[in-house]
Amino acid sequence: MDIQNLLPLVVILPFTGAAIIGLLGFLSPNFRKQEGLIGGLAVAMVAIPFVIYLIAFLNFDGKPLIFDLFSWMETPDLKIRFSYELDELSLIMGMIVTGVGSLIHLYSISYMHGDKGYYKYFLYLNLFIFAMTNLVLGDNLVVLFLGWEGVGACSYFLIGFWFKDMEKAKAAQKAFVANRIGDFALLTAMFLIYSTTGTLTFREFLYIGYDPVTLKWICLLVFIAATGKSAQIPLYVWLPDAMAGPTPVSALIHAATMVTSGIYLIARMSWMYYNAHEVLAFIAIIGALTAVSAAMTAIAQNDIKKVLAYSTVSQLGFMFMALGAGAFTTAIFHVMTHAFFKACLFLGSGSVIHAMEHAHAAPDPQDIRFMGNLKKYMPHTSKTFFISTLAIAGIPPLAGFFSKDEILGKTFAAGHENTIYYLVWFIGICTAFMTAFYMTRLYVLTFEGKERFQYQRTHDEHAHHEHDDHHHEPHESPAIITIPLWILAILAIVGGFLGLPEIIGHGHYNWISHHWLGGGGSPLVKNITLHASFFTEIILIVLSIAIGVIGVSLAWKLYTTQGLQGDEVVKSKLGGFYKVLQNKFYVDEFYNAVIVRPFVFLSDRFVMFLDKEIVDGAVNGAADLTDITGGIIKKLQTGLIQNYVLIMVCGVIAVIAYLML
Amino acid sequence: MQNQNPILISLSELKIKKIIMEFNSQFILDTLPALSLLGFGLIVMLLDAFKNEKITSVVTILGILISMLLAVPGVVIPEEIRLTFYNQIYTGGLAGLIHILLCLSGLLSVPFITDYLQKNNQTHLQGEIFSLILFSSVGMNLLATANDLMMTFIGLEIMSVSLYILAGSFKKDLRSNEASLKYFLLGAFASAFLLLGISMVYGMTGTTMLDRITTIDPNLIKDKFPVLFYPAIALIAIGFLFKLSAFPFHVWTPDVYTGAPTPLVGFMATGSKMASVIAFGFILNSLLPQSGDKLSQVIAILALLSMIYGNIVAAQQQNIKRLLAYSSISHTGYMLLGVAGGPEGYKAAIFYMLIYTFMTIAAFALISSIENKEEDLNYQNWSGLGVKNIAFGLIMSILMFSLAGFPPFAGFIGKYFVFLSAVKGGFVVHAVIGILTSVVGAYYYLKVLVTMFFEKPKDNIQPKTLKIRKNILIPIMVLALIIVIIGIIPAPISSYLDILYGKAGFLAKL
Repeated sequence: MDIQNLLPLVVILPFTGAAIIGLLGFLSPNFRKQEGLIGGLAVAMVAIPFVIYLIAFLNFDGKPLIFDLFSWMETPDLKIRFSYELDELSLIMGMIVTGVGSLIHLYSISYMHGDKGYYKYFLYLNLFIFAMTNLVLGDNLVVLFLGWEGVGACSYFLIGFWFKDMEKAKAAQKAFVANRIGDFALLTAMFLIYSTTGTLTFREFLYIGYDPVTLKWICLLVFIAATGKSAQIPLYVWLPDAMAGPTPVSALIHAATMVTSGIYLIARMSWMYYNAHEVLAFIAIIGALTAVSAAMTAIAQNDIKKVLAYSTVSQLGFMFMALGAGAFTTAIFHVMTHAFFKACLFLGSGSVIHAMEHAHAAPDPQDIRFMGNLKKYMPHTSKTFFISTLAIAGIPPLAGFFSKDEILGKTFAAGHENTIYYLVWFIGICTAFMTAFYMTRLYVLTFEGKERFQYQRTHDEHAHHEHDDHHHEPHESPAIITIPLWILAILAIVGGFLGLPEIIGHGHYNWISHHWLGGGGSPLVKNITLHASFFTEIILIVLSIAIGVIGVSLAWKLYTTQGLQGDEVVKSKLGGFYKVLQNKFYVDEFYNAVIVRPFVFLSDRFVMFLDKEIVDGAVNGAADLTDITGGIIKKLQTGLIQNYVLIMVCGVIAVIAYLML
Repeated sequence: MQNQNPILISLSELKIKKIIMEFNSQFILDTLPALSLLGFGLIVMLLDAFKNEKITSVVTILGILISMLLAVPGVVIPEEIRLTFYNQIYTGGLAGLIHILLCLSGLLSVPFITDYLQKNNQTHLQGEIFSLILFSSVGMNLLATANDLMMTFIGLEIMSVSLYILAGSFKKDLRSNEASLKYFLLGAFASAFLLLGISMVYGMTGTTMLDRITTIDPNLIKDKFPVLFYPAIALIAIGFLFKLSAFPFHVWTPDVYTGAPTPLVGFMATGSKMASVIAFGFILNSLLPQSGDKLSQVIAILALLSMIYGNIVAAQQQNIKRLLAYSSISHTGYMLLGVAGGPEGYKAAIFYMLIYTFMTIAAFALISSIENKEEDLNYQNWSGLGVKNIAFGLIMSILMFSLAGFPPFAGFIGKYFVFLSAVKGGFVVHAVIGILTSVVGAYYYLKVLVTMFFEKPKDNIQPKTLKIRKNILIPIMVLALIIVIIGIIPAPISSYLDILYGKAGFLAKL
């Protein structure tokens, strides 16, 4: 069958899945109990699109595949169609979204087992895939924006999935508000693009000339939007809190896919960014600052998901560094490898949290201070977690090494043009070291060393009365959870070979940058000026390997020998600064004091008055006026037919009189 | 202009043979959609006579569906529109679509009427009500597709007389009787104006055939008959404005809507108005010199008055049927503003009417589902109902928001197109005032919702049956869904209308 006819399914299927699950779940309480049916349907609605992407990918001949669902609104000046375009960039994003997405759907079948909102969870998840598909496939900014808002809404629903817990509901609200600030910037950028070019379709507005000031503003606004969605300074605060949602959600939305949409958008508009050098440098600096501050914060965190969250923020910072250096293909490459190992890490942490919850062994199932030696109980989880830790730490030949090394190499090369990039590169190297360190710390404290939890054994009185002994031991998750873990771990091992470094065959074997995204007709700019000499390259690679290895071995040695005491060593080295890190640079406190509280105060005192007295007064006045006039006029309707005829005759006379005169 | 009326010529003895010869099977094929409606109307009557009234609702739905299907081949080929049956009516293309649109209101009403009759133990009325619905659909079809003013009048009368009887179909209900009588008396009064107008047009042009009248330059007629010209057009217009219940010819509306059986009001308020607005626009465009004519101004003013009057008085009503009756006057105003705005606006008016059909039928059906006694219609007694019965609350919210013109519901799209064309047609002030009046509209629509959702339930006076009966829940939900879908993706329908109009060449003159 012609692939062109199948393409609309990638948009329609996830929506259908969400609609069916939502409607049946809403109407029939019996359906809500059919976990297998709901989960299976949801997985299929993501897996089938993945297969379609795969077929499209294998048959791709360099020409973008365009398909058009329907026209949304048409006015003389603005025509908006639900039309989609599959080119190199959206294909690769689509495959990441649906590929990682289907693994996480599969994992969720077991993870969410027995939850009251089971059907709602899969409804949101399918809806998220639908929105994300719109975001990466839409051929115009309006469809993209719908997807952009859609993923934001789904993220909001899922962070607040257990909304009865006030903390979680608040986290959802925080995410929503931070995202809205970014969305506002995106809307403004859209207005600006529309008013300058008269179109919002990518292929129509991307490749034309802009005057530098407009261009700068558009690029800056889009970047602000990206800082919201992709959690960069200053809007990154929502992402660590977003860990309140179910763990597979953190893996899918807050690590692998949604948070990369800002990077996608900038890459999509790379032809415009390419000409806005100042904005690019700005992006690189913000990326670097985000990367380093998040990495520092991660060192001092004890919640397994918080560490991963800060590491996500930090890795997103790396991607922005790549974008800022003009290495758009590299950024997308890192999006891909990051999706593999970070999804694996999050899913692994979910497996750990489940096990800890089950064992009732610790006051907080997410606190790594109450873990340790879990590899004894969870061989698969620990192995996959280890692989992904090495991958994110940048140990060759795992995926993270290749993409991170390429980012560092490109930033260094960009230093030729603008020395600021040397600074960015230096921050990047430091961050890479810290990444290796805190990730190894996380792994060791969770899986190695002594057990710091006490599960209730048979001699425990409670257990004696109620349960069997082995029920209280943390144990490995079922296959439906470990299989996705292994698939992702394997991808984290081999994924990097898609982008071999330049020293091997002058980059000709770098499939992703050279052949796929960097080919002719690709939507991405391939920046050929970003090129360092052979020896520089070698030195850079050796340096980044060394950094990674040192980071890993240092943390390994420290935490395997000293256990939790390792943190004391770090604390003593850092002094008072450690407390600042523990408190996440006091950013939340700062925002609360400077923005939230004054805002609440203002709306309490001033706006309330305005609203109550003036606005309400005007509205009520208008309503009263209507009531009074209505009360008078309604007397016309007497119910007597003679009066009615009289009114009509008056009307006839008036009409004819008006026409004759 | 000195030509004699072609009908009269044809009827003369010499020509009678020719008529018989000209009559061919093509005529039957062309008029089959209308004929089949008529046929099914007779079948339903017969079924009733032989005490089979239970299946009449199914037969009616079947009949309307068949009739709609028969019109489909013509619609598929937009160029197909042409005159048939001695040039009396149009068929194919746009005319086919018009037929389908007009059948909609009958089709959608039948399930609700069936249910309502069952609830009130009046099932024995099914046969006559459904056959009258079918007959009045025939009338609507003839009215909207007529090329001859005589045919227009015949269609209008077939439609109206059926409606008069329908309004009084609950024979033992005093209010129903009152509604029927008032409707009939005032309707006859208005028809007289229309007929007088038509005869004046015949006197001036020597023909009643619209396609011939269009070929005559209106300015010539105007110069020749300066005293007759405008009164003639005004009288014809008044005939239609009455049917559309525009201010000040709306007087019958509140009484008839309140008195007639509730789901039947849904039918009466939609199909007949759709047919009238189509015919009205068509005839105006044939008779008038250009769109910016004095008459357009009159229509725009009346549209404005209808909006203001309808909305302001509706805000005073406690009886939900009366509230919807007055609000229908304001909706007529929005639609007329489109008609005044020229050809674009005429299209917008028809689109508005289509959306209004869905909203109104659903609204009256929903009301009829909880109506047991007079007090149930007072929405002040509905406090807390929306929370108690989620389905009722949800659908009512969709309908009220849509009627008030909130996006993303269909009502917004309808208003948007109408106001857009009004602005383009030069009626900027009218459009602004119109939008302001729709704010008043939002006030009373939302007041219903506020009562339903935010006020504490008062148990003693609430309607007894809270449940929407199963056999009408699904049709209502489908209607609500249509309203949401049109609100989100209006382009397919509106651009299809564009295509058909473009091909029809109805408005080529303008």
